[in-house]
Amino acid sequence: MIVRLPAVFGDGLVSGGVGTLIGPVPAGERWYVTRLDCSNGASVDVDIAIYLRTSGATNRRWKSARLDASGGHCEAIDSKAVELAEGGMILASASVGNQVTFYAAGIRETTTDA
Amino acid sequence: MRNFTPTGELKVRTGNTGAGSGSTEIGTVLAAGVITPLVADPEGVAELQALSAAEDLDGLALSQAPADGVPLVLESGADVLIPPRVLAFTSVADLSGIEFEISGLDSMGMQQIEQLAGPAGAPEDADGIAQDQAPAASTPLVLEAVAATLDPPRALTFTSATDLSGVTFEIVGLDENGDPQTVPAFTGPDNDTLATSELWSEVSGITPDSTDAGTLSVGWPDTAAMVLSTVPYASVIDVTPDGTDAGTLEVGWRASDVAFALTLINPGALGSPRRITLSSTDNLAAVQFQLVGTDEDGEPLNETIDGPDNGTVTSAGLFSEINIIQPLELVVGSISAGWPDELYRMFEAQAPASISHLYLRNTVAQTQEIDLRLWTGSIEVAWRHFELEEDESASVLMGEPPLPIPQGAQIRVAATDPGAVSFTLHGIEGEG
Repeated sequence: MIVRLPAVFGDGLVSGGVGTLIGPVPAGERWYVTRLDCSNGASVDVDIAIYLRTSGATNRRWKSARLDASGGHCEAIDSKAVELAEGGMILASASVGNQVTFYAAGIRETTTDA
Repeated sequence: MRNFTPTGELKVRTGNTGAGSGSTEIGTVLAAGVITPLVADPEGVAELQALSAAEDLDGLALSQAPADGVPLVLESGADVLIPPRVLAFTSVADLSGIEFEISGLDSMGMQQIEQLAGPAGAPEDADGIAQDQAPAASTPLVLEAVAATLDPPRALTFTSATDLSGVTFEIVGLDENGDPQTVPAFTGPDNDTLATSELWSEVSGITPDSTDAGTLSVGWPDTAAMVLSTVPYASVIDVTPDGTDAGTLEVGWRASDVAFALTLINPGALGSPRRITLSSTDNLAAVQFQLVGTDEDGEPLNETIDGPDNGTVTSAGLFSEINIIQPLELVVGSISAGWPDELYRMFEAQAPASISHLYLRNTVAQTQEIDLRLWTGSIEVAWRHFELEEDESASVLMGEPPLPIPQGAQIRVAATDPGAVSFTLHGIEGEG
């Protein structure tokens, strides 16, 4: 049986180097990431880059944005879901580490024996 | 049962229909109201106030003679003493036979009525210790009986109408603390009066080192005595003597020697949970302040924070009640207590929730700047920031996937003017 429920996948601060935002997706699950919000709390503009890892160990640069100083934010995902299968991850880096907050949520699909 | 599509739509399967007949809905109203962020008020909890009092021995009542049953004339401000203070009654006269009834409020705001015996001062007596004697070398002066007990302790005066400056006197006795004290060579007066700089609670011997035909007397100057109230007062309403005397007294206070809690404007409930700020133009960083109250859930909350240094410090905890703000040591300076700007808490998830729609409408003529934030339980994420002109409305999340939030998460919001923007928040709370 497939069960899909709303889920929060992660929140926190974006690191200076490439670091994990959410994932990896555990076995038996599939994540539909419907929301990914970022907000810049620094007093300077911050460039961020977001990467997808959908299979293997390859990170694919997916989106990038410049967040204005003190309050600039982005909605990297706010419409169609990004689907992550087992092992899938979303990663990011920022030009200034630990200043940009993020929040990721969506639908967690689990498959169980009916 | 409930289930969701990959884009977050809720599918509701009714009991009588078969599989695959699910429909979608946007959930129920989770919250509705008017956005009313809290506006900072640095003196909302306690007005700017001194943390210690400097000595002022007639600050409460200027010098006046007690009259039976007639309240003393009190200085303005006697009804508000910040910080609270012990009262000092001072007089040169012996008023120990008169009791003064003090009526007022203590540091906790409780009514106090105290009976206090007046001070026993010692008016000037130029020959109270030794009367009109000619010094003879190594022969102690004949002392009056009172010399054995001088209460209050006092200076000694040596008075002569002749020149005795060639004679020195050894004075032996006890100081104001009851410790042995000797002045080996006090120079005699020259047709005048000289006073010791030391205070004496007992004089056991005054011995000249040489002989002279001139005479001298030993006594004391006007010597004030002080009695202290047992209770520190935050307000004094009346001070009434039960006897009459020609001698005068004054009432005031000594310099603070203990720290008292701040006088709060309205101790207790704050209306909505908020952090507490302490503000000062002084450097109070070396002193800690204890904040005592209750948290958002009504549970006791006790937090200690360092004082401000020409600025403001803010508590970490949110207080729904604040009852005591206590400096943990005495310090000179002034401070006020209040609260900072606080975002309006539109919704707090009591269980995992999914926000599907937020409707906002500006009900006033002024353009409103809306700042929506999501508190995840560990961090605050700026979520949406936009303006609403007069009568304009906004639908946040309409046409977008719902926003799942964890238990304990909050939707917080600020608007330009409190009470200007109404809202309804739709979604689903609980996983069903």
